Amino acid sequence: MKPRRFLYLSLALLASVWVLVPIYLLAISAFGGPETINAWPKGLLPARISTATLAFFFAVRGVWDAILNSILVAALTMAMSILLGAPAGYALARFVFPGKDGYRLLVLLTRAFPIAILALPLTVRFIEIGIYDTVFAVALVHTALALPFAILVSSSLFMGVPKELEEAAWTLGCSRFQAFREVVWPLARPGIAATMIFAFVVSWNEVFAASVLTLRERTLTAFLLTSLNESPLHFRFAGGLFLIVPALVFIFAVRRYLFSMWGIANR
Amino acid sequence: MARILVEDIKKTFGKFVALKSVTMEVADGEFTVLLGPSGCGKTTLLRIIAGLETADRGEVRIGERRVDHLPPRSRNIAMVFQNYAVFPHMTVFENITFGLRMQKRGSEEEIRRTARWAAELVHIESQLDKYTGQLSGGQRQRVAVARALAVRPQVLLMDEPLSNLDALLRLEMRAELKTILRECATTTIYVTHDQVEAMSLADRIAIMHGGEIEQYDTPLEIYRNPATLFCGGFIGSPPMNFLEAEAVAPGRWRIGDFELAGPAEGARLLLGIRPEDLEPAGEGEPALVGTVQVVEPLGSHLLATLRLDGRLLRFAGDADLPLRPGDTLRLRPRADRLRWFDPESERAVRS
Amino acid sequence: MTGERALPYLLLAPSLLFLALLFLWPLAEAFLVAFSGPGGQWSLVNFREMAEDLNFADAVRNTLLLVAVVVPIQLALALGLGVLLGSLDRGRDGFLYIWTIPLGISDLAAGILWLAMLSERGYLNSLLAALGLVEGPVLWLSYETPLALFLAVVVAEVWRATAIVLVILVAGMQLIPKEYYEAAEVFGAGAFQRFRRITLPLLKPSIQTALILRTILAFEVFAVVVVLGGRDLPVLAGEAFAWQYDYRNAGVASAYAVLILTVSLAATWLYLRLLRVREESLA
Ligand SMILES: Nc1ncnc2c1ncn2[C@@H]1O[C@H](COP(=O)(O)OP(=O)(O)OP(=O)(O)O)[C@@H](O)[C@H]1O
Ligand SMILES: [Mg+2]
Repeated sequence: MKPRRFLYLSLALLASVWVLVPIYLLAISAFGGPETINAWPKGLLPARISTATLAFFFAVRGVWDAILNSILVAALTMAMSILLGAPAGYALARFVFPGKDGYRLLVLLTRAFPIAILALPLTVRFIEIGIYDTVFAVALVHTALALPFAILVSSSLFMGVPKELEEAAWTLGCSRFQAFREVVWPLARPGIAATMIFAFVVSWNEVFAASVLTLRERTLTAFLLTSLNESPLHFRFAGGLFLIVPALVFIFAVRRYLFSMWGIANR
Repeated sequence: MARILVEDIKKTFGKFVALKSVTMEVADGEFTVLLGPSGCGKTTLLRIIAGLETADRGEVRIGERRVDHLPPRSRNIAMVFQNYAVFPHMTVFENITFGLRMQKRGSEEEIRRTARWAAELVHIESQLDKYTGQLSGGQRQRVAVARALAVRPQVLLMDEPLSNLDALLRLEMRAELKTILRECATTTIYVTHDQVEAMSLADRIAIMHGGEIEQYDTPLEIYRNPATLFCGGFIGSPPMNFLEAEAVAPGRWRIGDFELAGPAEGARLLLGIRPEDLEPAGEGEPALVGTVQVVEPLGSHLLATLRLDGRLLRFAGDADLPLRPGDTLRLRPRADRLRWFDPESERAVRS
Repeated sequence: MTGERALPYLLLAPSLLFLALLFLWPLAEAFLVAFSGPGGQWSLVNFREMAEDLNFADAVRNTLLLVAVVVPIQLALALGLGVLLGSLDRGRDGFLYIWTIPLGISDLAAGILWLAMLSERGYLNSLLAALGLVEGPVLWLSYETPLALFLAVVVAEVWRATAIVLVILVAGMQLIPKEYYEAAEVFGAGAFQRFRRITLPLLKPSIQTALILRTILAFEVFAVVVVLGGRDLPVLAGEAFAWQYDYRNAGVASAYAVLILTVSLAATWLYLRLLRVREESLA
């Protein structure tokens, strides 16, 4: 029994190293200053700790605007997907009505659509109605990506709030809306927050649509992608690290929900 | 304060008929118990009265108002749910005052006082600041009762509100509930599985079976004069004995070798007799003769199971009777306690 | 409560409208654009142009190859990690968190991350040099070394997107009652037997979901490839992007999009057929 346990632990550690080491190496590439970037051969420790690379990254024209745009787009995506998704999730969780299965199927189907098929035609339309190259336009497409997820997950969250609690509130003098506000919402809130964070990450990470739909109002991903050819290596490394860090924090915040979410959302 | 009138209520879930046609009237201030086996539709009926479920047809009135189309909040009711439905994100105090706050009834001080009053009734005044997740099942159930009492409803609907309490606490709360509800003259419908609880609480009991009310009467009347075989078998522990009887002449009936007087009509009937309505018969008297199979000394009395022509018969007698398995026992039913049933319709027959 | 029959529809309406506007409509439009000629008439000219393009054959081949290599590796790896997780006594939550970190990392960032590993003066070459396998910096990510470039994309994709498969499978494994394993053990099944006879069959729905999702996403592979190889390793989504963004030719770009959708749907259909899950066996 002993050696086998040791084997398992070693394998698990190996897998962890496989995940973590590249992130670490990217981090020291970004923090090591220009010397580290050009060093040959490289060591596992940075030549020195320096914020020069990051300072350079943030000093590049357009980076701050791109970061701001990314945050705006992600926040808009988060808000829109929950405002549209939560009511639908509630309807799916609480009502039996004709057309329910059809709606569910539609939501599931949307996940099979490649982003390219959405983004390309929308470019044309967005130009026509004058919202091309705006934060809002990108957020619309990102919401389309995050919404199916928000609908399915919030529906399972609402299903997790026993119907009797809501009914008890009704018998105690609540209208439907009051009962939702006083009972369902507080109980579903942590899960909803996790869903919103997920929507945020989806948007923060999205590259294709953001790049196609913007020219000047770049998000960070679009900015990095379209400047790949002109930018030096250390600029890209700093940008990559800056993309990763917030996402990591967010995933850590929602880790408790990760499994229940994917478990349900993929049924 | 308000009577409840339920008329010709039918409810189906898909193809399944949960309530066939239920009609009943609960008088103002009356305490009615719904009693019946699991799945007979008690909760469904309660939910229809509360407005949580819509009946397929029929009407519900509370007071003089027809309430079928009103939402629960406009019906002036309170309900205790079978699975408590206590809000987990609120403290006991917040749970109890929830109804008052939602209906904006009374000042902060009055609400506080009412909460204390309700909490004391169910003995949870020491837990007011706890979150309900930290409470035991029985404590949660009491919070649910207090929460319903606190709004002082015209009509109180309770779905097995004491089922999770230990025997002693249950006895105590039963007595208190009865007193409070009488004082407040709250019209109450109370669901239970427990027939002792039903007998002790109810002004009237409605026996439900298979989506119908089989009998709606005072506890004693149901015990003495069950309207159907089911009611006789369901109420009383042990239940009523049923013996097949054949007519020998108009008004004369025979069970084995034992002859007795009965209804004038019919060829085959069932005689219903409660175990305690059988008495040992003297030598030479006509009697039901059986062999004792099992003897259960219960302290207050003694319960014996007899075999009689291949049928079982329960007899409750004096605790001091010297009975042993294998003994032969001669029993005589008390003439004024004979009840007759038609085996076809399963309904009682007047003698 | 009555009079509320309309409520669910009212609640669904905003999202339905949104999905119609941002999914169904663009979908229809993409087809329209892809299948219409310069004068707006019905035509296959875009597809012809797409097929005659120099990069087309490579893009198709590379994308299909990537899917065929990456997805099975991810599935095997995720299955292994899932089982491994079940055999650990302690630290499960910690390991699981670490293994799922790439879930939050975008394909662009993952590409950059592996660029740091694999660039000329990167860590792989440093390692190889330390081991004495290479003398100086070697150029891996160039059009002259297509195989190395392809493998780099495979590694980056495996690193990044195994996590999603893992999460789906672990969520499924958590639904398998422990008693089944105990019963199997009582009847003398070894670890491998238990995996083959219990885990795999009961996990089939999750495997199906994971495969479908991963395959669809793998057909869209884009940023990782662009970061590591530019257009030296053409893939379908990359070509769609280039036609739209660099050549300003929406017709051909849409043709690519339609192609991606078609292969995605075909793959989904194939998985549904091959891994048919019988309803009654799930009881
Ligand atoms: N929402 C529903 N959908 C389908 N069937 C239902 C529904 N609610 C109740 N039923 C069925 O209706 C019947 C009556 O249910 P009800 O809950 O009223 O029984 P009950 O008398 O309260 O039982 P118990 O004593 O076990 O609580 C049951 O057979 C139940 O399966
Ligand atoms: Mg019930």
